[in-house]
Amino acid sequence: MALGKDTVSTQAADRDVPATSKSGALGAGIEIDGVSKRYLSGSRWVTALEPINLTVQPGEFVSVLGPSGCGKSTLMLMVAGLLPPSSGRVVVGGREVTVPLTDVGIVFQNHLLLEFRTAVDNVALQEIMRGTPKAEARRKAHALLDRMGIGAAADRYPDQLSGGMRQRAAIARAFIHNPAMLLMDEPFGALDAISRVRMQHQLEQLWMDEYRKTVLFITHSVEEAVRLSDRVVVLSSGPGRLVEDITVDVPHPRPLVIDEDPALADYSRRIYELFNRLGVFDD
Amino acid sequence: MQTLASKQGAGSAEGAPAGDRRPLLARANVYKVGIQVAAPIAAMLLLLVLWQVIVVGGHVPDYILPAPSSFLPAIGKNWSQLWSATVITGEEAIVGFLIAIAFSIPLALLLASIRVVRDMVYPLVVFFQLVPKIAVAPLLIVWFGANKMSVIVLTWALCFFPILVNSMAGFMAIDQQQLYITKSMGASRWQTFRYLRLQSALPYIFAGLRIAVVLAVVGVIVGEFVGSNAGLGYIIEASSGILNTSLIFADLVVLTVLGLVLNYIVVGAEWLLMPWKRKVRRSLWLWARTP
Repeated sequence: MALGKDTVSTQAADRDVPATSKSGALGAGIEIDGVSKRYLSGSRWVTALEPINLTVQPGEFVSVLGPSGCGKSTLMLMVAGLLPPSSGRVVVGGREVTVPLTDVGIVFQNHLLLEFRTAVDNVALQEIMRGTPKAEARRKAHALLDRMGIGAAADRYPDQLSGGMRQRAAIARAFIHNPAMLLMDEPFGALDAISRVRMQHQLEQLWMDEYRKTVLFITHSVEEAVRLSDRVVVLSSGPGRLVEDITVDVPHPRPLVIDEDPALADYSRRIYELFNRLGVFDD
Repeated sequence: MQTLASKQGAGSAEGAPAGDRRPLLARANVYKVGIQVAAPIAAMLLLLVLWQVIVVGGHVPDYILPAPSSFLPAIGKNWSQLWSATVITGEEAIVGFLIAIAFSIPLALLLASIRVVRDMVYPLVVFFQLVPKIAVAPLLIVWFGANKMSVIVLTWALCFFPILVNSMAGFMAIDQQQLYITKSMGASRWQTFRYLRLQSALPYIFAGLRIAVVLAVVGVIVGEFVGSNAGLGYIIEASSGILNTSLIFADLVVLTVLGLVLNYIVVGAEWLLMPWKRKVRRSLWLWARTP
């Protein structure tokens, strides 16, 4: 599956990772081992996700791609230890996940910034909760927001930020503490098309320059998955199951728009063909 | 990265409210504030003039409905009496209100946090709320005597419920994904309260306080009607016995101003404690409106 990705994996393994990582992670790898999710809806059981096996190498950028209702968000919550699987187990950084992971950064589609804290204080909160003194946490947060290009808006409340700025602050909050992995669930899903391209570019830059660690990225956008990831794991819906695991063998940095690179465009076309075969576009 | 950053700097206006299409004059803040202050004052003056004309023109006797020209001067004439009554009434209202806060908010937190306690206690609280508190006033006199104590207890009883219910809703209204993020930060129970629940609940708590502060004035007045020999409520009670209707109206004016001041104290506290809401609501006049 992850063949041809040796370069990335090696780089990630070589990077120094805080020895204090709570989940004992080396830029944590993820093993998803027969994990499924069923839940009770009224009086009948609904299968959200059929048993899935998936291994993510440390430092790999993996997108989980699928139509709505394929259980991709559920999968992410189970990896984070926020939702117990109905069967199977998740192993992160060599340890089975039984309680919510803390050596992790999470971004959802909704920015979920606290409305009563300014952008910088929202980002700093991640550090404050982990025991960093307030002044030091704010200094770090300011520096990070500067690097992400929203330093000027650092002291604004979320209500006073644009959608793109909010999401940038949310991403800053997710990795200010240099976690063992990033879990992102449709982080750009609520943005307009232009902000989206811009944010994808910025995420790629951040990942390459500052944080070359494991990213599990949930999306329903084929272009976004191909544009960003080393691997695209395709799920189908009703119930969710893994149908394809595609290695995107194109080096980073990649062009802003996948059409500029024939190889990327080809991956995208293949995935659309796959969706078509699966009947995703049928009524 | 670099280019992105500079692009972002140029687009820093993207946070501004979009697409205001009203004419320039209507957008100007001065105009807005001016109209918001002037319009209600003008309406009030118009009402007073109309009142004066009807009462004088219709030869309505003073003891039935005094004209503004009669009861407005009565405020000045009886000022020392009204002022000392205002101090007493204001103090009772504030003390009752504060005790209600001190009771309701911790109880709300307890009910919101522990399910068993909520299931046990909340039905009792609702039952308590269904008892008409004003009907209980004479009972309070029996228990505490005709004094400040019964007035304060009645005020507390009226304020208690709205603060409790709203605070409880506030402490319970937390987004599940928000909790996920907080958990992923490794937050302890105390940190979750300190950094998330408390401030998330504030807007709800203040919604309760704004309802309660109005009820506090009602509670004090009823309490004074029933069992007190001082305060603005007592003056109304005493004046009605001797048909001094002008003094009743003068008293009502003072009482309304007292209510307004108490309301503004809550609004001011809200302004102080919730800086993130300051930009959202623009006019003080709207702020003062109670639900």
